[in-house]
Amino acid sequence: MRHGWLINLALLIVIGILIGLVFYTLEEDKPEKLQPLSDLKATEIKNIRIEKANQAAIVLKKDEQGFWQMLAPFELPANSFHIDNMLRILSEQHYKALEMDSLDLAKFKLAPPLVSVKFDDFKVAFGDISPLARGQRYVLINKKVYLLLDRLYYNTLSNDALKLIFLSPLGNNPKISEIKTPKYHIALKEGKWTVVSGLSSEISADELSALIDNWKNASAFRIEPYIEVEGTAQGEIEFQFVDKKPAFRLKILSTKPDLVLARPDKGVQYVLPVSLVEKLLR
Amino acid sequence: MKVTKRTHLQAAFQNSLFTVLLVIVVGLIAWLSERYEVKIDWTVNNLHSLSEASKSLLDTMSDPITITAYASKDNNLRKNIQEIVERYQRHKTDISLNFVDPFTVPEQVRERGVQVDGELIIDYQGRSEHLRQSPLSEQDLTSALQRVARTDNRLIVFLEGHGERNPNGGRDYDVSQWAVQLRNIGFKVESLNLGEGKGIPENTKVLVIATPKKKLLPGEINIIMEYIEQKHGNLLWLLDPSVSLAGLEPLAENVGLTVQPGMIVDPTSQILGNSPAVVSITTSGYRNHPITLGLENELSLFPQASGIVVVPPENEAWLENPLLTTHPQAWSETGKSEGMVQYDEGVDINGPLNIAYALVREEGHDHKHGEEATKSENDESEEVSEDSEDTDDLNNKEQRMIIVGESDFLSNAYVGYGANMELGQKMMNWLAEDDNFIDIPSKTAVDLSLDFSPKAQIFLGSFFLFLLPIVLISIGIMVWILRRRKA
Repeated sequence: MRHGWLINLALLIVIGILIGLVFYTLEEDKPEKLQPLSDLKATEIKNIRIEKANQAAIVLKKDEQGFWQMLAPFELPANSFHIDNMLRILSEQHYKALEMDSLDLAKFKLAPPLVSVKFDDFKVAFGDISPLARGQRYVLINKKVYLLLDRLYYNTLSNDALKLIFLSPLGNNPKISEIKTPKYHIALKEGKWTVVSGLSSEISADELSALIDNWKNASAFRIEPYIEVEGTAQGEIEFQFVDKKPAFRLKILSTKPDLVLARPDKGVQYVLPVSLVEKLLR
Repeated sequence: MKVTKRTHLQAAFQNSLFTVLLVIVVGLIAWLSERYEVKIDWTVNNLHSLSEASKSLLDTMSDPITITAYASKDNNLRKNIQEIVERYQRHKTDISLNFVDPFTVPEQVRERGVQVDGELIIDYQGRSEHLRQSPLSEQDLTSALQRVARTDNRLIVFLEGHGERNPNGGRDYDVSQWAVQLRNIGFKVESLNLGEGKGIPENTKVLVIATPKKKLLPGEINIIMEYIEQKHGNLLWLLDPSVSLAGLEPLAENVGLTVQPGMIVDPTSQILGNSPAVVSITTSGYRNHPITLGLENELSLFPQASGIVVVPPENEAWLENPLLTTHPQAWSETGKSEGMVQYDEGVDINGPLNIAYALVREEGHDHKHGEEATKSENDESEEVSEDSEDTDDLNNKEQRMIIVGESDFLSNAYVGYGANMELGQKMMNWLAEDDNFIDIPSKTAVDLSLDFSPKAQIFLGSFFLFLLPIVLISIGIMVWILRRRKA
């Protein structure tokens, strides 16, 4: 009987060893923790500069309210959707460093790069797409070449500057105090919206509030360079703001087939859906 | 030791614990065996790791071979490639292997058309072959070497439009598996419907007529006869006892073909576990010819074959050579296959019977078998002598034809049996005049697939699932009963 107990003990020891091996195997099988491309946090970035060959650089800066503003080539609020896409590069984990004895950057189209972006002091240069691995692109960071899974980074960065402008003509979170259109004039007096002219005096506060909200949420489906054509303007809309934001005017270029409102001072025009004509102008 | 109730319980607990622990150990080992493997090659210096097929192929390749492996460093790709190629390098020392990380040379990758990580490019005599299979196997590499060793694109054209066996079809009746193998070794395989107004391509190396069921149109027959008579094209003609000549009587007359009536019955097939309707060819059934060389110890199976006789007319310059001959005990059954099938004197045709012939004809010469030949009236007068079976005449182009009285042997249903695939490949290599490749076996490893007959499957299933457990349980019960009696 003692012999039997010894055999069972030996089996227990073997089981212990095998279980240890199983745990070791499971640990080995765990996927390696991926390191992000940079230690920088997207929320801490204050400046972005995008450079493309034979094109003016696009300069973006975060303001005190935390909104991204384009400083060049246009001075307008920036499209945060695209900015956030760009900033994802910092935390990208799907990349591979290329081990090479010598760097011939030209063969990867990294000298000069197709496009480069600088987040504060962190620069990423984008080159050619890999002919082998789908969706992977060569990038240069700190003199090292990586193969990066390109989640539309290159497409976003190689956009025209107009595509990086915020689509709302009034910018981010506008605190409007007065709107003057060819059809009506309303103003904020003592915290309450009142009709100065053009609209019925019986219009309710809710309807006025809805009108203001329509203006605040109005969004273009594209932005184009401003093209001045004599005699086509159908009037102007003047905006005043509560905070120190300067007043500006929007020129009504057309109301069909699309509503086109221009900012001649900024050199752009906003193309909005025709359904907004009634909601905003009449 | 005094056996008390307590000791009895202890023993029972001990035994149960042992069983449980043993099952746990076995389970853990089974789980770990899925994750880890150990391979040990016990051959001396791994000399026998390369198959005969690969060695034969390498022996035909006299110039250096360069293999460039576009494989990145960070996985096991390179290790697998290195292991496989090293076997070839031991046999042929002028094979060079270079590794290139494809991600570091994008322009080279584009230039050379590399598409996947782990792709090999084999360069030989100025020709290149890409190999994209992963993991790499010896079969893949040997097939690629065979393709790159061929000096030109060998086009094989299968006639279609009359119910022929389809080289791209997946039915049991079709010949797609054989066609895939032909492509693997460097042939280009196409189908051709003469009824669509297209002629036989000029660069056709071999035309295959694989048992048409419907009659060919007169125009189609004329095209085929022109291909044979004027263009001296090579032909593989597969017949079937259940199907007529489909209008190809002029071709049959040209070569002196007679299809014997009935279907061959081969009693020796029963010894091998097959139906007597299946003709078994082995050893002496393979006649002396480059195609059958090396098949002496192999078995080929031909379900439902017809005997054929080829006696070329004197005015045609064909030299015929039987390829496959049945056992003398076989006969051609001409009566109905009802009840007991047996040889009927005077009615059936006694064996041995030929079921395949190889024919050759030199261009511009008329030959009589085994005799000195004289040129035809249209050619310059010159006497030519020829050995009866040596068809490699370097001075004159040679036309080649194979006629087989059975076509199922190359169908998807039967091509995997015995040496059928091997035979099909050798026939095609000979017809394409790739005499160097005739001796190269089709598979680097024999018996890669294990096929059991339905009876064998039932037997094995019953044995392991029912019989063996019942026997073991019974033995266990008997031992337990005996021990109890002793106690």
